[in-house]
Amino acid sequence: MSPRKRACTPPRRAVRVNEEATVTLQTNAPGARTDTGPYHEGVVKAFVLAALAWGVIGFMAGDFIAWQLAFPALNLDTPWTTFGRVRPLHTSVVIFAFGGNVLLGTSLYVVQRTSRAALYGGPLLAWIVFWGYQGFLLLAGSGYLMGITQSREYAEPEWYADLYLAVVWLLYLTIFAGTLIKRREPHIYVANWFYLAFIITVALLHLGNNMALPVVLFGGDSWTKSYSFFAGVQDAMTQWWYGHNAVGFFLTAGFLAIMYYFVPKQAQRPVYSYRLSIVHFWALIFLYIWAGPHHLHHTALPDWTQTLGMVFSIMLWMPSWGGMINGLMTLSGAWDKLRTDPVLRFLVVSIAFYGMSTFEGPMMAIKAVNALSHYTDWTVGHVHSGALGWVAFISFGSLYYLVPVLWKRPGLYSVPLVSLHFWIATIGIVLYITAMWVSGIMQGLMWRAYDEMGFLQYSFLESVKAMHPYYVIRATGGLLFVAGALIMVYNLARTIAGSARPAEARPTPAEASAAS
Amino acid sequence: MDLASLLGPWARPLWLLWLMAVFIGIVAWVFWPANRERLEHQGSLPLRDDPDEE
Repeated sequence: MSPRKRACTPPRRAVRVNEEATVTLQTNAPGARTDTGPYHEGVVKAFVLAALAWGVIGFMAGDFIAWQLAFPALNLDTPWTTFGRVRPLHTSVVIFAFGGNVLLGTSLYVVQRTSRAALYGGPLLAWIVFWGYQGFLLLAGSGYLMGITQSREYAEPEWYADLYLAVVWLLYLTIFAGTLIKRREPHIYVANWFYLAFIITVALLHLGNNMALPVVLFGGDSWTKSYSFFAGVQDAMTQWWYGHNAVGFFLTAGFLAIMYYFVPKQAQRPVYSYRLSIVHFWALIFLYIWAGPHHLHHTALPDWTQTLGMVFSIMLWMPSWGGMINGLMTLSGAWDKLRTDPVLRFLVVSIAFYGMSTFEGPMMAIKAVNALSHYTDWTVGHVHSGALGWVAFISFGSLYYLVPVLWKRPGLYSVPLVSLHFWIATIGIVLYITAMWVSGIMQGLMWRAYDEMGFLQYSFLESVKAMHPYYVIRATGGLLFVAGALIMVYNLARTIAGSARPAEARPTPAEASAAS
Repeated sequence: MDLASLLGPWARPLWLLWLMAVFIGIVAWVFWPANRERLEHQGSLPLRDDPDEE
């Protein structure tokens, strides 16, 4: 658990000529680096490994319940394997365990590199956050399977797990903010702004949405069960204020931070427009927080609140597309790299999915569209084009980048396997989202169809039966996505084991820049 | 609402306007021609590696 002191890796303050402009005199002064040891990368490695393990578990859990929807007998007739319990396990594992470990790991890597400072609090605090976070995931996930849930979407953990996570999260904030404060680089790179917004906002959302008291304090007999401080429509609005901004700040801002660091690194080019990235950041911050009511269209929520949510959702097109253009145009003049570098392909296609799903989202937030799409599989398809196409693909790209760098390997074990992973996963996503579009729109149309006498044309059961072929296609797509993830795990395991084939090794950044 | 009460009761209904003004201010500052070179130079920060990063 100690910082690995390798002779080859002290982040020396050896200022090269071309970077002097951004380094203050103080950082050049003798003794200025006394508080900065080597970067702490051991904990980043642990987060990478945890992300890989949780990712495979989460994808498999998702595909398992996808097959359950097609063939209900697969619920195995036990309470622990029913859809109602495995579904929150799936969402929490992919979002908070896979995505969370990617975000925590990359953030602790990026903040050190772009601040040119080791982690605040040293390796000990970082390891406490690592094990604390894994402990939270185990506590929450095992609870779902046993039926312990507060039934708030993406916030299912009960009060004791919530309190525990709040402590871990504040320690994480301490490390991140502390590292920024002791940075030796005068400027705070935009990726760190996104990471910091993600950390702070998730803390606020978590505390706001989970204001609950255990029933045992009011004469109940359960220590685990709790009830929310809010009631009725206020409770629903609090939940979706949380839920939507969890999407906005966990799954969007956090992964945009990954985009703003790893796409320039992998492409070896600075971001297309740094000024646009600043506007992107502030537009996202100012707009996202208001969009939650679009989850409660046509409910008891006051009409003006629904309209507010709709309008702000539509305005989100601006930062979304600004960010997408910024990410994609970073490749401007180097598009040929997409042909030769499948890791870059993961990153760039993820940005395309980001653009697509954030176009679809505001459209679905329009009340008239939502009247058709709400409660249908269209929503599920939309979420997965964002989750698989954007979040998972940019995570895969960053993991493929990080593993050879962290383990000091000359390159990945096999670049063709990355390409295979890319195509298998992409075909899987396409099967998934097209099946859900067709099934969702069909569902919506069947539910609202009237006959000439004014009666509903279809019973609910008929709409369920009509879904079957699409559920099979969706589950097949999911299977491909799981297969791709297993290929990645094999490839990265061989890379870590030191099996990189020199012939396939990509040029390191230094070689690449020396050659150009 | 602390911030709004600090500014006085008249400020509260103006949230939208003054937040918008702050945002427009940020955009103007970012795209001000004199700031261009400095900001775009900061964008290449991740590519200016420490010597140990390979």
